[in-house]
Amino acid sequence: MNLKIKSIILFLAIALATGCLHEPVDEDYYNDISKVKGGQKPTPPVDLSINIIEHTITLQFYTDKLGNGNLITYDPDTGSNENLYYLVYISAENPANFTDPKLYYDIRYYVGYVAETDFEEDVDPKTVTIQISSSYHGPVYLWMTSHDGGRESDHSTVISSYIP
Amino acid sequence: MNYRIIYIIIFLIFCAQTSFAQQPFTFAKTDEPVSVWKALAWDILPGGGHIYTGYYEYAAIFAGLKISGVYAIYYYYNYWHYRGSLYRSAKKANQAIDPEHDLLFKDPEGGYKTVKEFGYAYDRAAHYFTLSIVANAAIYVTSWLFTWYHVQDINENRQPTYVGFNDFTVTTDKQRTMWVACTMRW
Repeated sequence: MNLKIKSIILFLAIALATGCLHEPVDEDYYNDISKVKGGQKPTPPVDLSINIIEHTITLQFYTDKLGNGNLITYDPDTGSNENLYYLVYISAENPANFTDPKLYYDIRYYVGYVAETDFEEDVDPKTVTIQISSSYHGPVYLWMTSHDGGRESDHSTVISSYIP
Repeated sequence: MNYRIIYIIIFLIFCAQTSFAQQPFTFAKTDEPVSVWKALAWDILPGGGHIYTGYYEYAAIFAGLKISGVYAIYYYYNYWHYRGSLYRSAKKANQAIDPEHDLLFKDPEGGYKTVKEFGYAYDRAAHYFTLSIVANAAIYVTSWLFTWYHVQDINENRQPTYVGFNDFTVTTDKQRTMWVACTMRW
């Protein structure tokens, strides 16, 4: 092996070794919405209402309402709500008393979700039912969010009722 | 003249010369013993100790391991800082974009991670860095042990060098037999 080939191999080895190294990223590296899963966050369902019969809660909400000709509940990245999931939260405690706003999205208050595609197209209001334990008597607070598979919306307005 | 007398005369001349002059003498020696400390000091360099003791195959193996080990330390040190920068950047961005939700940020190594998961990855990178240091220490200790063992092995097979002084006493008995007594100290 002559010197030239040896030099090339050495150079390639050094290039490979240094090329594998990771350089720290800038502080604003993630301050870019394209690097966030889901991009822009969707908007939540609107006009929630509940009807309680014994311990069955019927929750109604709207996702196809228009405001200025555009959907009110939608994903800004797609312009529609077809890819959205609607998450339901419930609490016996008034969320207005939460010490941390993150608790609105905490798993402990999460009940379940429905997808926009679970409902007939352009039919509002949409309805879900929630069965409460028959031993429970007291206030219930409900709110909803939308989820586009990456990001969750802000919470909807909180509605409340009482189970006698 | 008997040839034995010639030998005796030569021996006496030699003894007289060394004894009266009190010159130090040495046994015939093979090689100098190998210094353990020098060998261990040379072994700081990749394969150095093994080249010093003449074990070239060990030198090649340990040189490869040590160079890779040092590179691993450098690599994981960089990786640790890199994961730290991703974590800090994600934390800052989450706070700026949507502090109420745990956002999922695209990890350059694939997939998406929350700030908390970036924190775990940062911790893992610190562990890798620590492990690379431990692995290097283990390689160095192993190399030193082999070097030490090889030095012992070499020195066992080498005749030691003795330096001392002699003291001869020449006497004759009634049968006119000459006796030579030799005392050596070293």
